[in-house]
Amino acid sequence: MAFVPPQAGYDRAITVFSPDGRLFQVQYAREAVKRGATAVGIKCKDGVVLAVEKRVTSRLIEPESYEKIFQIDEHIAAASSGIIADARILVDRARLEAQIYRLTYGEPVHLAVLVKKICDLKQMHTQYGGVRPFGAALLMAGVNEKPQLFETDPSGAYFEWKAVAIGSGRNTAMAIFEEKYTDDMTLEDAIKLAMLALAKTMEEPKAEYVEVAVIDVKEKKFRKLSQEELEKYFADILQKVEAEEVDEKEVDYADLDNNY
Amino acid sequence: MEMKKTGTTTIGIKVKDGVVLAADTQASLDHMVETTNIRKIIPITDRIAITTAGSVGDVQMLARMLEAEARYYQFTWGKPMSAKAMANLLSNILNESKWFPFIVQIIIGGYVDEPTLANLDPLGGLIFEDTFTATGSGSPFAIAVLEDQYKKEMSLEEAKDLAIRAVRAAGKRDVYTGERKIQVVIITKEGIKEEMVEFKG
Repeated sequence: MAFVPPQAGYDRAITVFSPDGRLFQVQYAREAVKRGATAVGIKCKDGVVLAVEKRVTSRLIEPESYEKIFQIDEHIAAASSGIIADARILVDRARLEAQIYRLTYGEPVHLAVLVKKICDLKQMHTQYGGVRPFGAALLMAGVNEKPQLFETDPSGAYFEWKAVAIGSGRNTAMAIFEEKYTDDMTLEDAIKLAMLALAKTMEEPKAEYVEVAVIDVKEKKFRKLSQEELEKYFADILQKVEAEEVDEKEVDYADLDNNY
Repeated sequence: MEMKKTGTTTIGIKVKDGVVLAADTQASLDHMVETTNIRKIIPITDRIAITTAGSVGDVQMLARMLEAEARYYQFTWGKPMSAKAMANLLSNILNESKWFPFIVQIIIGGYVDEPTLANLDPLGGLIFEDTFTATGSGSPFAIAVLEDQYKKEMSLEEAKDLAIRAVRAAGKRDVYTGERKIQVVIITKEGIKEEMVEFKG
């Protein structure tokens, strides 16, 4: 009995608490998100931006089949980090719920309503037997009366942010947002900041390796940026990426995990 | 509840450049005219529209369902639903409710990949039309005009004139079809255009 790990057995069933009040399977799911590709979101006065890192591992992959920002409805988008297969299920459900809402009430769904529905589903997968938690976090962005940006966690917890990052580059990106985010940014500024943060987390920053989508307040329509637009923004920020060394230092954003 | 007779004339014409849908604008209930200013052709997407005949509530419900399904299809598959797919979907929905049916006669017109015209009966019977079709109480009159004048090589403009003539004939000879305005919807690969044409003139 020399090698009994502490609290052995409490990670077998998701519905069983450990004595110190934790659900280990949920924490493992969160770990899957931490290892995922970085996804960032920024809200500003005239819209909201989502940007993700595309980890294209082979030149043989058809790049357009590799999609990580999903359109949920005309005015709502989601970016995922973690297990893509799990994220797909959540995205499908969100699309369905958005149309069910329209059919029932005859108006576009409110982002907060949709986020709550998705998180209800995620929570159910932490409390009922025979399932495992979703190993995916979603950033959900949209414009109803005003722009909004939410983070959803594998546990089913959700938070509204001005700027947020999930995935492996979270600490770096959050440090940049803490420093550079301002309340009066334009959409253009927000796109640049999102791409800058993303570029800082990447080993080889290139326009082909990012995907960016915006929803602006005027049109309230989801739009993915074209490759040319990405190149243009990238040219602008690239010197900055090289010039400034990110000080990943003092603050450890792992504190943010205590939110959940 | 006693079923009351409603009246309408709606027609659809398909030519090589697109589809023309036309309908009168009168809602009648039994022998009373409820209104002379309603739209019986409802756009579902920016490329597909349906005409309505029968129970207004049923058609509106189906239109809402199709709108939601089309949007869901677009987001799921990343391409617009074709008119053919929508006609098949509607056929399935109608046939599922065969024991408590929707009281509707619907014409679907669309131009997504190609001009498409289809006719659906209340139980989901689906006929893709290559030329023209008409539904509603005034359809025997309208169809006679179409039968006589339709040509495959017609231009859209000619098809539109023919559609107006056909609805006009029905309006004159069918008691329950209105004779105030005709709603005309033209669907090409550029999208949907709508016109309200005065009956006289």
